[in-house]
Amino acid sequence: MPTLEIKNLTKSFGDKKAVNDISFSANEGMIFGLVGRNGAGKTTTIRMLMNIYWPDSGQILYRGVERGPDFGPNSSYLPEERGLYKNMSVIDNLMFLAEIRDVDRKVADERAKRLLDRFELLAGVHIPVERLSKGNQQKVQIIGAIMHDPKLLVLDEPFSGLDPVNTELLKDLIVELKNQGKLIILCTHQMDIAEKLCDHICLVHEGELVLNASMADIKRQYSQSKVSFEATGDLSFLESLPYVHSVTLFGGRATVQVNTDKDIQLLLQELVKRDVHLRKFDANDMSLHDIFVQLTRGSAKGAETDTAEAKKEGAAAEQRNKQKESEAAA
Amino acid sequence: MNTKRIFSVIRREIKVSMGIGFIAATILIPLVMFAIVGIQVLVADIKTDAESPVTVLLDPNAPFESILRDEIGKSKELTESKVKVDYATGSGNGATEFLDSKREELLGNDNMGIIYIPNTAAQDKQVSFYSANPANAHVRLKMETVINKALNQYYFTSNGIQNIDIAQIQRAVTMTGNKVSKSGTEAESWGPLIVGGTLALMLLFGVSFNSMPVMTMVVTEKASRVYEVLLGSLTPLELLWGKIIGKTLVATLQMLIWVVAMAIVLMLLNNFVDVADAFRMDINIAVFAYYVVNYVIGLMTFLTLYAGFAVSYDDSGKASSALLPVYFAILFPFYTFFSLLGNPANGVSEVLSIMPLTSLYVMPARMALINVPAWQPILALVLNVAVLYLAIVAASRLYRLSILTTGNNPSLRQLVLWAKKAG
Repeated sequence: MPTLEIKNLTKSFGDKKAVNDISFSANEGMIFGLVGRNGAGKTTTIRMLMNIYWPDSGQILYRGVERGPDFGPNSSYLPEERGLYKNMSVIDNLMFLAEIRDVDRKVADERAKRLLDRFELLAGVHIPVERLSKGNQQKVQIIGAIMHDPKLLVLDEPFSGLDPVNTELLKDLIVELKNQGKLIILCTHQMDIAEKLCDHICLVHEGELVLNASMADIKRQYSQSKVSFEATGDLSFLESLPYVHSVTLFGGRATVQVNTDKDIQLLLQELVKRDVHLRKFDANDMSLHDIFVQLTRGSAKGAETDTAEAKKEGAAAEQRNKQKESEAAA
Repeated sequence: MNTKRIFSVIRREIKVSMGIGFIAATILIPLVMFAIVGIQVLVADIKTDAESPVTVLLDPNAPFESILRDEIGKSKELTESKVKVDYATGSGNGATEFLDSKREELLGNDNMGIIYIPNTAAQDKQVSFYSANPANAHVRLKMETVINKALNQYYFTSNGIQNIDIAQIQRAVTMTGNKVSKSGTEAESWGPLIVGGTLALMLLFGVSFNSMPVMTMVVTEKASRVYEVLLGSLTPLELLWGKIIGKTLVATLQMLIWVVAMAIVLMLLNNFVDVADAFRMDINIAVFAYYVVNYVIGLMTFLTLYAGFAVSYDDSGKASSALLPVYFAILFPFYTFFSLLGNPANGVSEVLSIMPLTSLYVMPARMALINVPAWQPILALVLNVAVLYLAIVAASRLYRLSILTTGNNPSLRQLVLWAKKAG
């Protein structure tokens, strides 16, 4: 039984369907990436998951049952926007967040100080939140989200506003929490971070799920006979090459699908021959960013075709996941 | 509902509300109120050293001239107020010419006014006052009293009634009230009305001073999206209850501080100043206990309505405009308190003291003034609790629906529809 199961979730705002028939499941000890463009429906999905919005239809099961009284104390949500009382001190905010999640005051105080120390915020413990920098406010919010040691952690753009050092600090923390057996839902449009951290990816586009598979499966599936490169020069000839199946151009970045792996060599020779200045060339290793761009860019018709195909692929991946789970259980 | 979590919200509200601002407001508000009243009394009582010259213009051979001069000469009021009176004579064109000749003097405030008393005033008491500032009550009212006394004196003398005490005739009858109750009879006092009025005013202050901060707090929290985090662990109802109870506790504490301070001042007054029976403050403990419960219910009702409606807005300015009808719902019941001044035992007062919302102000004051049958305050309390319950239900529905809505602000009609729909 998956820890979290989302079934056919749908939500409309007026005439606009923000989330349309989304289903996925996730297990403990996993970093589950919910990725998509801005306004794709990621936040609406997690707001429904966190009982902030009521879904129009669909089901959200936690440990096999509709979210019961144990869901609140076992889960936590880090919203994209600052969810803190700005005029209250750092420690008062953290204590309040812990208290409403039934954490003993003494335990909460001890835990808050330990986490503040780890995030180098102990010196500002009595400072009102509004006087902290944006990055430090985000760190306080992250600490607030894990104060009650939740089993399910939903993080909406957690790296927003963090400098590179703090980004690394947070990445380490997320991996540590995963290793402790927690389920982390990471909602982001930063593909490089999702690629490095996530075990499983769900790609939401215009309210629909266009990709739902493990990171390994996605890489395998999308990288085969695919080349991604960054270059300077005229790339318009690519589509005319007989062994090229499809081309996606985005600035100086190109993703090319060739007919067979052998054609990759031919493509490289052609690029060199045409004096294209290559900065980066990856064969059979397509980045999540490129997969994301490929799936979400282009005409509506193209996107529809991609969406339909991706849905089939997603369903197959879901089936494979379930099979693996039942095998593991057996 | 989880009481432990509500308690956490209450504790936060108290902690946030009990800062320097609370101490400053608790001390400053009564001081400002006393200052407002005190300044008015002081301004009204200001006596300047400057003289106020006034001219009394009489017709030639005015029959009451000697009596008038005598009364003006004897008047302590005029002497103390430094109203200096001189006399002139003239009638018809003469009077008009006299006025014209004094125009510059009047405009330059060298003369505060000319009072023309024609001979006909002995019958019709019609007198004219000419001044650059005819609204000068300082001169006008004092002169009016003295002239009236002189004309009355002249009337009695000319009709053969001699040696009378005009002051005795002019004195009004005073009917002393005696309150009869089961425990006995005691002299009537304005004290209970003052206590009742003060209690009603305190509820109005409590609501007025706390409703706007509640509205601002709710709107700010919505704008900062704090609710997104809180709603994962708290239900909207828990959040709303926690806020309202926390704020009500702080406001009630503030009210009790004021009442205790007022009681101490009254006690000192009773000990050191000879307070007239008419202003004896009899504070009945039962009435006061009822008032505290009543205050808490009233405050919670209005704060709940404010919080419930305010949560639909993410801008304080728009929220305060939209909540104007709610503010009228607070203000209107307060004014019904004045219905007691006519007769606290009549039907109108009785209905208003039982009716929800108006009873919040009227019943405690009525209880302070007369003996009210026990069922009436109980019924009023039950009805107000019912209204509070409805307010909580409506507000929590609105809270649940609109806590995260953004964009166009809803109209009051839409809010009512939302509250119905959420059921």
